Amino acid sequence: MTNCTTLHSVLKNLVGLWVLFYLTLCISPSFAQQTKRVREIKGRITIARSDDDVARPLSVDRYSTHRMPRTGSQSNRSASSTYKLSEKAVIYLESETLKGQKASPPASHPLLDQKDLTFHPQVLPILAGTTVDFPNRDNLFHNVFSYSQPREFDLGRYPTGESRSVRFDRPGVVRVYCDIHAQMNATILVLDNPYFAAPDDEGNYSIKNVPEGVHTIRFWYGREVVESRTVTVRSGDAATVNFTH
Amino acid sequence: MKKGLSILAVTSVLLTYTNAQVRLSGQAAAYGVKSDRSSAPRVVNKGKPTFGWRFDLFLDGRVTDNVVALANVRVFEDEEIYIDYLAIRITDIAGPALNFQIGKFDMPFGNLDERRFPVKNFLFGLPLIYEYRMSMPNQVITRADLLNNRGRGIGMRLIDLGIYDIGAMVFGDVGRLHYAAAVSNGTISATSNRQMNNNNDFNKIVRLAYTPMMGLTIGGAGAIGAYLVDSGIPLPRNKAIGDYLQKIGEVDIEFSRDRFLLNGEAVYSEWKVPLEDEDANLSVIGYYGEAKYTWFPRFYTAARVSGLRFSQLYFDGVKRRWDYDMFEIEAGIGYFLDRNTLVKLVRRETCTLGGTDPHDDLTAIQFAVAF
Repeated sequence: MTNCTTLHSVLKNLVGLWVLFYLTLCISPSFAQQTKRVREIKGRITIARSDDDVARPLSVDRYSTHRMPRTGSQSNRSASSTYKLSEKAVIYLESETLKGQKASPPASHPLLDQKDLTFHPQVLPILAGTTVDFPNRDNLFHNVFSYSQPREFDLGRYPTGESRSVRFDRPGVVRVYCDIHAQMNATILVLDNPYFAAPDDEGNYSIKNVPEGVHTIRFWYGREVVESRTVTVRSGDAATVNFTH
Repeated sequence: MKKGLSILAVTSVLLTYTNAQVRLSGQAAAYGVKSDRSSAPRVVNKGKPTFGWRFDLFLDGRVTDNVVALANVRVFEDEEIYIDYLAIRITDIAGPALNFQIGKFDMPFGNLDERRFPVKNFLFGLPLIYEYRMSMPNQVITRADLLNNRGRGIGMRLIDLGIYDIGAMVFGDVGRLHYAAAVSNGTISATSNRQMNNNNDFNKIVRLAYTPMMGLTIGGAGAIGAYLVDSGIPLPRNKAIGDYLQKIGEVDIEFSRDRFLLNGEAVYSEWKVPLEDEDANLSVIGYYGEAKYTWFPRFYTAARVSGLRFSQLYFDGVKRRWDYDMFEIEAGIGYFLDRNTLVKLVRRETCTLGGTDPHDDLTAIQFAVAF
């Protein structure tokens, strides 16, 4: 009898502890996310017509041809690189549900490279609070700056091999330019949730661990959003959203 | 105006016809200026508060990867529209070491470059060496007239408004060394614009620039050519126009690091001048140095000092400078309303040495837009 009472008491305590443990887990945000996990929005981006040739800016350095050496054959060339799809497209989600989501920015710093008189990538999606590095990999000075409201900065001029960093705390669109080379431009998309992805070079993308709900999915291409849709995410479903531009 | 527009129209049609990649861009600037009240030549509208504007249109067309056509049309207020730049450039003929350009363009002398345009000019005006008209014209002049012209602003500029001239140039890069060699119709002080220099002698220009490290470029240029206008009137002592040359040399520096920019240039020029009783060598030293610092995004301060110092010549047995030496300070602040819109507030103080010091200081506010 005594043993039975003791066993009963232990079981009661164990059940109580388990309930307490479960309740604690339930109110923790990460668990809440996991229990709602669905979880993937995936799809494919198809670019029907490359606009590289159309959009490629003509930049002729007419006034410094007799001032200083060029780096290679750049004088008459535009921003020479043609961007890969992975460098100029971003898929991201927006909704009221996602606004409240807390997420930690990554410890590692994403890069916005300066190479061949071009920023790489053309569009860089980051989570608010992320610090971006701007390494100069050209054999000449650049002067990276932005006058966009979410984050104004002017990094000044620095040589090959050096890098400067900027932390972006406010969500929004940050247009980045070079003060010396007018044709250089890029966009940093500072997002308020971690549900975004850049496609691979074949156009495939995937956003995992998306919370349930109705979200707006946006397709950013080059300098702007080119298409937005509504997507409903339910538990257990994997939504497929394809874009053609 | 019709001629300018016609040339631009023809260029546009040609570029379109050849299926060239064409880009139209430009700059516009509007300003309010208040200078001192005096009769000095650089006083604006007799010292009355005045508004003004200028407009630059750039038309660039790439015919192939190695061939581009370049044009720059400029209008100053109600002045006639004119073409500063109309050239064909062929690049990479033998890699970056050999390129060729022909037409009307800025000669390879000095490092003014894009700072001649309002959005890239940290301040309002140009340095004295580009802007001030000396007492000496590019015509035959007497000793007395040269003396009387001092401070009147009716002669040549030391560097004629950025030296756009008609000619041909080869240029290129070998490692950190840059070279350019050009011939042009006019000289550095007397370009062929508007028939200002119509003699049949070509000006010869050579330039070298070296970049020892990123952010620092040191350059130098020299030019020689006949500068007198060919009016058909015989020159004194039966000499030819080709006997009267302008010889000019300059060194320049460009340095930048972080948010600091520095540019400077020093020029020495000598003219052989046919005075009524003898040939004289007149010379001038000109210089400027300008700096800009960006304190935080959008906002900068800039300052420039520039000066001219003239050689001496005998007038009635007394040695005098053939024009008044000048020293000028220009300082200002600039604020970018957006990437392509700049507003500047500038104050310029000019000191004319050795003569009457006319009041020609000025204050200006300028809005400049690039598009």
